[in-house]
Amino acid sequence: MVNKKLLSCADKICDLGVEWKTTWCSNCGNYGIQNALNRAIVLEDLGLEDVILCYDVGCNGNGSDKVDMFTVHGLHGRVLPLAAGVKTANPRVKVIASAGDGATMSEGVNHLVHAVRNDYPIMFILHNNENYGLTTGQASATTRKGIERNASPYGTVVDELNVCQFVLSLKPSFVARTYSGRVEHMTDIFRKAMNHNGFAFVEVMQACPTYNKETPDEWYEQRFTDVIDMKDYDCNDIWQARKIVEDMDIDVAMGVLYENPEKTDFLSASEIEGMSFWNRDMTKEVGAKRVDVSSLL
Amino acid sequence: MNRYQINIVGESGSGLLSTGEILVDALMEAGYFVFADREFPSLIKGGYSCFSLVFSDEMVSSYNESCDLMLGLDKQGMQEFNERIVEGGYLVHGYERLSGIADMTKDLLKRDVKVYDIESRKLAKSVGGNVLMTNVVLIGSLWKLLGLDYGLVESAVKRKFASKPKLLEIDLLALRAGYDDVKSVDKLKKIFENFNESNLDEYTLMDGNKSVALGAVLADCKTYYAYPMSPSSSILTYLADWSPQTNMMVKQAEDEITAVQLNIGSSYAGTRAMTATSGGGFDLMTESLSLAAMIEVPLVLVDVQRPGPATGLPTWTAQADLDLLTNAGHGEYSRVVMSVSSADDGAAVIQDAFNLAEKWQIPVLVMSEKFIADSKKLVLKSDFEQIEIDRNLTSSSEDLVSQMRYGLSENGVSPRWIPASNSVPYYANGDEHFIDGRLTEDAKKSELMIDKRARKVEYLVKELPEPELFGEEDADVYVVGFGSTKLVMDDVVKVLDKSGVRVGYLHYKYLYPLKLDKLTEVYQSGKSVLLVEGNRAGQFGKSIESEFKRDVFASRLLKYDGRPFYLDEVVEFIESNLNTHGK
Repeated sequence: MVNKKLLSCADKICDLGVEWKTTWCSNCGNYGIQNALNRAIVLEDLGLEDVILCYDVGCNGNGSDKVDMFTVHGLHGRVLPLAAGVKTANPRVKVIASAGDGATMSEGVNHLVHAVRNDYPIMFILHNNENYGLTTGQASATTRKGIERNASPYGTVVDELNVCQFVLSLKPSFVARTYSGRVEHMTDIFRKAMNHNGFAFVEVMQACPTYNKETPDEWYEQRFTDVIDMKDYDCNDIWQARKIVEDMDIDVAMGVLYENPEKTDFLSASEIEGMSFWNRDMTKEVGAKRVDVSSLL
Repeated sequence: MNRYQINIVGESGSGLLSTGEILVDALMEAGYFVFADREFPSLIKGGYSCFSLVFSDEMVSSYNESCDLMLGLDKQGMQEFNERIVEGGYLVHGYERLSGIADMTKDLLKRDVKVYDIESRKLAKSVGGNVLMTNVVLIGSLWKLLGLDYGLVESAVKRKFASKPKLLEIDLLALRAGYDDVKSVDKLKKIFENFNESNLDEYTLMDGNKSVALGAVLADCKTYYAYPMSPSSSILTYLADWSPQTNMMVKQAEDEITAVQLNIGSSYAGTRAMTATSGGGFDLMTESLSLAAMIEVPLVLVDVQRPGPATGLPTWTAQADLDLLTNAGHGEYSRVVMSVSSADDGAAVIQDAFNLAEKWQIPVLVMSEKFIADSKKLVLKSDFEQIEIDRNLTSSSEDLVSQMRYGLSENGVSPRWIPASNSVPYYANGDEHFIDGRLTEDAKKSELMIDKRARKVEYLVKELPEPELFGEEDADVYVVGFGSTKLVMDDVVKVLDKSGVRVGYLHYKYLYPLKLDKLTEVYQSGKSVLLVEGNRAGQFGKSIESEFKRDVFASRLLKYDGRPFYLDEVVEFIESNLNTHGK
């Protein structure tokens, strides 16, 4: 199946690429994820003046200068508040944040909790390759129990965290899952996430051919279960979503797992006396008018 | 200068804050300059608090541990603090079981303290009030002793309880009952015979945190992110309360790291952002400080200091985070460390900090102190005008290329434009990068970029003003300090001038980088140069002497017990260190 629109904007997608070489391993899932993200940006007709990409530290973060867009590459574990700050200052711009499983589920897990709770209107891609790739393959919080990793020579001894189950427990507004082996699926999910008016959480099960031998793309391909093909699956029903994400071994559910259109995003919820933050561009407001504080003295 | 100090003491939660506020209000109405501060423990109820209030016929900005008159709201408070009443002073209290405080009273009489025991509960009840109105009775009694116009305190009480008209009626009767209960007042009245009243229309009473918050508004800061931490929290409260008028995004974050990251995100995106905290919270922000420096995003952080280490003394004061702020964050880069001295300059310092941060694309760290944050002094309303905003943004996209964003320049500053405002993208990269933000691990390029960022401070120091000399230019003795030291020094200069000692106070607003020309001048005068600083190591003194490359200070007054500098201890320190140059 050839996506005609995709063909027609192939040039624009190519334009997002850079001439210098990438630094990911051969067959790294990041190639597919980056490709899908670039496609999604172009298919949504977003240009240089419409998007700011925010990166955490890790293998995916090393892609921050491998795309021809405005990017900010922050500290390990901290990309979510950084991205929320960007969005607040300039709500017109789509803010897309990326981080790995180490950053999201360990170093900055508190930020994930509050990003979901605040429903910051940003899109977040969690690259879950079930290890710390950039520091040479140590176990992460999503490494399955018993699996050997660098610095866990006899296998990890504690249970892994189920990311979607955790996020679904926090009253999210959008939860999706996809995996790095299917660029089309990722592109589709990213586009849906970009159009969500709240915190759009996307977990990408990511191949790490160098350090994660246990769950490569083929492993997820065999277990890929798209909820869109499931009769009676209601993505507005949180209990169905919470049930379906439990299985990470046999049928791994992918697609938009849950959406809550009732939730109010952070900028709308912060409205002061009818003044919406969505209509603001704080980047232009500074110094625009003379400030008088006599009424506050 | 004529000055008189009243301490109001009681258990925390005994109403001493509102009692103090009524008296401050009434004294200002009477035309006296006031200064007020509150000592309190880190708890909500119980423990002992002391509200110190000084009034004078000149500007006043310090107090003593001891007081001329104590208002005791309960037995516990009096027992804790009665030794602070000066010999020949006064105690007014409403504790009716006199046998319970017989020993205390005996001791006080030995020190010639005149004790006025008011049957406050009985009086309150006699006018239909309850035990909660005993404080108002005592205010009435105290006011009679001061010998000031009754109408002044009456209208202050009316203002205080305006929202509770039913209670106000009884409160006014209670006030009158307390006032009428005191008969002989001649002795105390004499003290005020020399006092002149002033027109205070140009002034308003303000605490330092309010001044800092006003600074953020005046700087047209659009976003404020913070996590509550004493003594910085009221900045968050002020800004949140004002947000309907200011349209500021005021967000209480889930922790200090989040607060500073939200700040950096908003600042990177192109607006102005501020975050305040105290030492422990600042510790958590230090890694992020380093990120702001690396991606050359303006960052304004305020540290309202309290004594550490760890939780330390949460509700007490200190000047001990200077070394932290000067050195915080890994790696080497430019920064500015500034200090607020009082509510007078808080707003101006914050506006200055924003302009410096944007002009040089660096972190600017502003110190305040619990003593500044909570103490209330009269400030000139005209000091709260907007200072011109300097954003140093490149707006035109003509001739702009990505390689200019971090381009090498003589003073280290490169053009900065708002991301997504044009089609010339750049990478704001926390990894070492070259001129367009692209990652580099090249030895030469890395060195060039580290030089570029470090060079800014070498250029900006040339633009900073020298520290200001207050008091006497041609003095007998000079004192060097920063922060709230200015509060006490303003009074010290006046007090010592009366006894014929000319004091010059060299006040540093910029603590890093240091300006030394004025200090050199002062040092070369041959007079004693003294250091007054609120930490154990004498951090600022050490920093000066290390830059100056020789000993400067003849003597140091270092205080680190959580209390502010008291007027009398600084006067005594200076008097005992005259003519000690070079010792």
